Amino acid sequence: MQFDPKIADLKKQIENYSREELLWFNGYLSGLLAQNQIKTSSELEVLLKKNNLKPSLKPVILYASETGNSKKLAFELSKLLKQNEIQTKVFDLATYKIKDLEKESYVVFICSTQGEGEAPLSAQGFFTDLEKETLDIKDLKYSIVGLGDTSYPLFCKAAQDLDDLMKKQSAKSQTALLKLDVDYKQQANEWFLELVALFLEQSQDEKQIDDKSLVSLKENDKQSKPDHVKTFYKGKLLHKVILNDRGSNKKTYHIELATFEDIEYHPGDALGVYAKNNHSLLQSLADSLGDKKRYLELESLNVKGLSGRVLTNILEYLQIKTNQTRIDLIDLLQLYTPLVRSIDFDKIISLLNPISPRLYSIASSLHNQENQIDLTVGLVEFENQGIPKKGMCSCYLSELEIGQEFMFYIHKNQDFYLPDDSKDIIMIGPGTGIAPFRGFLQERDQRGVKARNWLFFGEQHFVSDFYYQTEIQQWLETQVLTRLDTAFSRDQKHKIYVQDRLKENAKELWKWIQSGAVIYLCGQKSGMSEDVESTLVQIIMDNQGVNQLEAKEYLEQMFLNGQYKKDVY
Amino acid sequence: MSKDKLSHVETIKTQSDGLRGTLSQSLVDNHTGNVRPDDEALIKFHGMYVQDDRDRRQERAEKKLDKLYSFMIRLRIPGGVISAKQWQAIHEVSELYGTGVLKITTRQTIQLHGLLKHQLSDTIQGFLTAKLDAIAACGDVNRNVICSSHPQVSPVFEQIHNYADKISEMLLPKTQSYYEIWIDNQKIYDRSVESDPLYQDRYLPRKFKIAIAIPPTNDVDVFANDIGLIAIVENDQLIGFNLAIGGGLSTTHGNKDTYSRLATVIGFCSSESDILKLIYHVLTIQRDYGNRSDRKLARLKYTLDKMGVENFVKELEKRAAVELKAAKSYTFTERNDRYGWQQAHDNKWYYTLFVENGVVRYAPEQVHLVISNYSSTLSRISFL
Repeated sequence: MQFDPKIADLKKQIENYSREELLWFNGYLSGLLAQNQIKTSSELEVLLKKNNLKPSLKPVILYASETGNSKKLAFELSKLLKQNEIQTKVFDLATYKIKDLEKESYVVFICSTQGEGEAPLSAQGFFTDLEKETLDIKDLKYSIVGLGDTSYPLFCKAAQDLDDLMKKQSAKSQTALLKLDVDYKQQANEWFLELVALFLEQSQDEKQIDDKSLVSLKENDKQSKPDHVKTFYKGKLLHKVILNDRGSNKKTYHIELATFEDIEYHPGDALGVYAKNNHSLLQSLADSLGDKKRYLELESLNVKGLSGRVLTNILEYLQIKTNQTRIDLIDLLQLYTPLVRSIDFDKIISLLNPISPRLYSIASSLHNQENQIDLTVGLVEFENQGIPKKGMCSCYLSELEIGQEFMFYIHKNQDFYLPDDSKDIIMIGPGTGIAPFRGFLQERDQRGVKARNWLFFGEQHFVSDFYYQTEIQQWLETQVLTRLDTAFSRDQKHKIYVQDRLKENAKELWKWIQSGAVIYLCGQKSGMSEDVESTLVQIIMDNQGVNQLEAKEYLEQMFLNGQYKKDVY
Repeated sequence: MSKDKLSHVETIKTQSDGLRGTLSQSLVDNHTGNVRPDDEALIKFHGMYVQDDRDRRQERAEKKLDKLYSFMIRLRIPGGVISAKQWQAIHEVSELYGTGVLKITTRQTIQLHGLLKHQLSDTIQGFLTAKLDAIAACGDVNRNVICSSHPQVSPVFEQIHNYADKISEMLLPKTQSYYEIWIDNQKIYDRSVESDPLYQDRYLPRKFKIAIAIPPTNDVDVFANDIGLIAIVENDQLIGFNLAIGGGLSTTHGNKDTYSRLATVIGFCSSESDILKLIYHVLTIQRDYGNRSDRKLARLKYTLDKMGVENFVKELEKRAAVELKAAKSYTFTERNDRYGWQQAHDNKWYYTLFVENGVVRYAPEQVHLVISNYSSTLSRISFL
């Protein structure tokens, strides 16, 4: 790289800058880069027009999305293609008919990976069909973009599976499988540009792509391999308190952790935490496996809630059967020990996956407190076959002792950052969904941002479950928080939820939206986020005078252009 | 009237727009379980006050929760008599919105504790359906009027008892804000019907208590009240009342200017309308001459001693246009309650129950069910 003199130059320029100024520049530069990418695409467009090319290729983009990231990328690609006069259509794999593959000439898959290496729930039907059916797609060309997280053992596994299935059906892979990590944005954009170039070339002389372009895409793929290591940090528990008062049904922890170095993060980012198994559990587990002394070897392996591939493999190895689709290893062993002759400790270890990290929205702002990160963690408690269980990571965090150290990393979540300071925001965050918004409000408070902030919060009871109540009161007092709406579902006979408050305030909400306010939604995906979303659709129907389909599209557009942001789990 | 600076509560009262203040806004302030500071004073006039659990302050502060605010609501039950149905209704309301605990007070009424702000309107509406209200149960107004409740005390007991109702009614504030805030929400009342010649916009300088005793029983502690009426009964006929004024036992610890005082008997009056006029004007004098800068020295007893009993009586007779006669003789020989089964003058039986500290908890096998089972036959319940 020829950067060295430039870096020296830059260093000289910025040596007197404060941390805040540097942070500002950091944002400024990312903005600049984002603009440049658009410029690049319009350069391509210009190139296209100059040569008076008429692209004949009509690629189809198929996405499989769990959190909306794949979907968002799919529409970004579609936009880019259209700018370059390449006709394209976007479909959700959930609703795409597999037989239609036979009619396509080029398909771009954008597919994320969930849980233990599975495809998004909505796309699992497509995967099953692709495995079972025999399709006539030997002329079909395709590319696959996988979205994943290198923190998970089976990085981009679903995309890999998809690639294998397509190859089995004799479809023609045109580019190497692109695996993208959580900070995928820039890489995705670069790859998209190359893909456009590839399409243009293919259109130009109607022949198979030449080796050169393929190589270029392959090189790109090399960079995207999960070889870059996440930065892990050590922190120690500074303080923890259950935010719920006596009599509550919930146990939501406010956790403060001290970091040993300056760690940069933005409100909206999440903390990736690797839980460790409880030692007393491991001792009895190791005992069941025949060697109590080796329990520490199991510390970082996932022995709880085994499912899918891992469960199948273990059942196969132990030659036992169960109707359960999710079971802790210890329960499995205890239930089935009589049938087992001897267990090889090492074999079991080889069949287990490492514990996947869990993500928790950061509930603080660096502007508020350096070297400290706060989390809002709901302790997950449930029953499995009558046995009371706790969520692995929430339990791990809640049981940490003050001063105890643990490892974490920062999970960048650019799609959920604050907008620029001129923009109003509407935050919908019931339950632990309030976490990032505490960070937002701290940040905007500290920086004296003048734009308006509206918070919707909900839980079960006002008296016991009003997370961060005194801080919220302070923000109302100082007018950092412009409006607050609360919904305590069990304080009256009929249940009231945040979406009911949205409905009640529909007129005012619409005004905010019209004036450009950005809507943030954080919290539970099933139930809450769906209800909030259908309420937003209703509000759009009522105020925009459109039908449901159009209103959904409107919200979709808001999502795609960043006026509606989601972080749901 | 004192030239000293008016106390803050005085400003709150006069600027309250008929005891409305910002109560309606306070009720929708969703970030807190309390009402706004000035409304804390006003809500008393609606029969409620706010408290917070001091023992929970620190723990809740650590949880980033605000203080645990709750409200007490006190009913207005003149003479302490309600129907069995009303008793049942109070129970039901307390179970729906409160802690399920009723407290029978020494001033013959019932209080519920531990109500949350968002439960207040429902509670008051629940009471209203049983024809019960909490108007003026606290605050700088005439409070619940108490009266000997033992039917056995006198054959004219019921006739005397009616005075409690009449006096209470006469001395109610005229503002409709209670209904506006707690019942009808936004309905705006015609303010002309709200003109209040008695309380004006200032109300009284301090709380005001009235009791009616029927000799020989002084179970109401008649001389400890701002106004004490002592019923004079001759040959089983009520012939009038001795009027006593300026009683009050409370003192402020460490404040030498405060003292306990027994009410002074200032004369006798026989006609009902004259008695009501006299009572009314004791209040207007207290309204005009009471101390409004120091709440510790604002009760009628201080006004009376400041003016002198003679001057006060002169002013009272002038204002009421009633001449007081010499007090009749009477004797109090007891102030205890008569427990267990008792027979009244009409030969009917009644039962006096001892309720320790006045606290009644919900317990299905106890009072609640007994009364609901017999509510059709039980004629009335009174608090001693």
